[in-house]
Amino acid sequence: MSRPMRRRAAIGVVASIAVSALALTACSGQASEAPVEEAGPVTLIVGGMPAATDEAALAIFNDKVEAFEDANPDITIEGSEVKYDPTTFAAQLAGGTLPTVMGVPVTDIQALISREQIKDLSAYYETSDVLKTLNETVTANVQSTDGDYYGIPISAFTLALLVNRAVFEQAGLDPDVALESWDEVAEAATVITDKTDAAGLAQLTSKNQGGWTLTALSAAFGGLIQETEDGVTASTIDNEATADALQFLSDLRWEEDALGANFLLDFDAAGPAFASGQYGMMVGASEWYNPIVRNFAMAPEDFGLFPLPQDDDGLGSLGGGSVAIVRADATDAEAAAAVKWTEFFYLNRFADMEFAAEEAASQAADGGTVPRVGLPLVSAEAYAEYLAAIEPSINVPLENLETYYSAARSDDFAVVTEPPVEAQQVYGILDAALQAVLTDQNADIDALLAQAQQTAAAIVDGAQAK
Amino acid sequence: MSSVTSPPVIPAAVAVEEVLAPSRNRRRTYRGGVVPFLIAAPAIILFAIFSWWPILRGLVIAFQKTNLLTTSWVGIENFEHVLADPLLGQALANTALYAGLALVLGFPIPILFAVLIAEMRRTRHISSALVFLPVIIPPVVSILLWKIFFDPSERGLFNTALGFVGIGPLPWLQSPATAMLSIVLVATWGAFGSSAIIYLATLLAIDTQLYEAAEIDGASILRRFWHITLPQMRGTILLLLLLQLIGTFQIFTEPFLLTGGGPNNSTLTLLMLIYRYAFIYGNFGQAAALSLMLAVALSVFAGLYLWLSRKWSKR
Repeated sequence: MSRPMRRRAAIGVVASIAVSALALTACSGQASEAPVEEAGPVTLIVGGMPAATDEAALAIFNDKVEAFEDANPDITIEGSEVKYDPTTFAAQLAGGTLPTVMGVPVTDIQALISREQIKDLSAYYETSDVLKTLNETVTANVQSTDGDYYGIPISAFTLALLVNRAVFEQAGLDPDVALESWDEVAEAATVITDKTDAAGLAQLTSKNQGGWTLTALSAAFGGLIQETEDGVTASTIDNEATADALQFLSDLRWEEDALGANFLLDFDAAGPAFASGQYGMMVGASEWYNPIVRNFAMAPEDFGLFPLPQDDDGLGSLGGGSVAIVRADATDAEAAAAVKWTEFFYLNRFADMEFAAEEAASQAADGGTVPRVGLPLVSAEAYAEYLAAIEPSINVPLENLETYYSAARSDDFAVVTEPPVEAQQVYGILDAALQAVLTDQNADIDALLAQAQQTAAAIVDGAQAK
Repeated sequence: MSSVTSPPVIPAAVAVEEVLAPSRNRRRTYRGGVVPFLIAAPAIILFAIFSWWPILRGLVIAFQKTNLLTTSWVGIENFEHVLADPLLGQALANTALYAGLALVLGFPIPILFAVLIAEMRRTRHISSALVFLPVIIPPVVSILLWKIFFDPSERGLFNTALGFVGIGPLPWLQSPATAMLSIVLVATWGAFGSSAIIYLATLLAIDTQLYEAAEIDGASILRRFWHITLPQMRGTILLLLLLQLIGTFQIFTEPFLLTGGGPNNSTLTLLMLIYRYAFIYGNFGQAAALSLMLAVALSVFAGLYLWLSRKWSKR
């Protein structure tokens, strides 16, 4: 599956996690100075408050609110259970019911920027000691094409190969030895299909998640679906790597019959099926350990995580995560308070080890996963210190995830950012191409990609022309 | 946004001819005073706020670019974008395919059931209740149940049943060739009960002396059906056919929950495209533009249909 090296310029950001030195140990946990004049008391509505039925989580939240208000007497926090929902975001924003600050997926932030629905926070990146220390790999996700910052990263992950260790063992495979190439993945999927009742690999195909995972496979095979040069982004879907990725999946579907029978699959369907042993592997977010174990009742010891295999020209693993954003019509004082709150609520655990230990103990008591699985927001050293502090509360069998974490710590672990222009629309276009390949044995991959390129190019060009 | 039809239950044969016939006595002088308006005022106000005002807003937004915070006029740009979208043609073709299939399956079945139930004198009530039962079940619940039944593996309910007679497994929702037909099955099952009950009411209102006279004259069952039953039901059939056609062009819930428009956009309908514009891509202007075009097209169609129906009724 090798191919000539192609231009890697303007690949968004392909960066090394381990190399990036995050001196978050220097974080004070204190709020940054706002770059604007603050005027009087501020009431801040913060999203993502746990529901009343989740008593333990709500107690932790309320404790944090109390501590924050003690440290910032001019700021009053009002919790809101509202979480990000793209179908209601604009209406809530217009109706005034959207929290002032809330978390959104990285995938959607560029669209929110282009629609001018969130506030520019660049000024705080210049003044905040905390934000200055954040890893560029992570903060690149919240930058517009002009380089301005529109959010604060609060969690991060890369796409990875999720493994059902029980199914692996049933098939006679070793779940402690990472699969290092796509050929090995295909071989393992075939063995699982042949020797167990499970299908080898769950391939997401709907609700734009098919396009998202195909984008990750494309990068792992050496291609990008959008490239930016001199501030102008172009759609590049019909590249050789994306065709190779589709051919890889087509072979698994039609030659090995190793993808199961459902080809309208999203995480809501695939997650429980993977947890219950109906699939041996799945390409997905590394942070999906948390919902799969907690919501879908998978035994923690059955969950395994491999880094996404890279072809010879592989560019890296597609990154993602959550970002705290501030609504566009927030006042400067509200925005300053929102930044303080975000630093305190999400990043303080990496600076205040006593706080981290207490928080982890509460989360573990509530049945939550400790630590939260994903890509560390901070440097390897800072994260190691954090793990040491929460060690008594750790309930994730980290040894089963070690192949992923050790890869993430290595110097050559590269993270590819998501497409910068209208990512969801482009993922939707790729969904259709992927579904065509998996439901029609005679599907013409080159023709599908050419058609997808034509549609996507119009969207990408149109979005930038506005 | 239900599918085939969930028409309002109207008094059987009585209202139908009135609906289709040109209204008479239009020049009657009103002498009711202000009280009726006061009684109707709360309903009118609620309708104005939650129904008519959004329609007007949609009309305006179709010519705007808006994020619901800031708005600018863009003329007919939204219409141009929608008309240039390659998915529009596919969504239109899919919707037309659905309408065709839904008519083939969903139009005769309620009539057939109504005729059969009308003949069941002892079990008519229980049969009517059973036929109407699917209408009572919340659509989302029944659709998600059907999704489980459509499991494409050999372990799926339908495929297991078909396996007993050596058929399948069928891909059901997983193939562009069978996905739309599967959706039509679900939609027809969910909606035919209400149409059947209306047809039944019409049937039972037919004067039995007509049948007795025909029987004395030696007319066969088929001739009685053709010359008495169908003409007596004509008004109801015309009205329900119109409602069904309008309903089919507004199909949303079934493909949204069953396939999400896939595979490969083979079940993407016009309303799903509108939903994508508005709630996935945040292009409210384009969503409103397509909605407006659909509304105009359906209004023209309904007007044409009614005109032809009246013309036919006068023969």
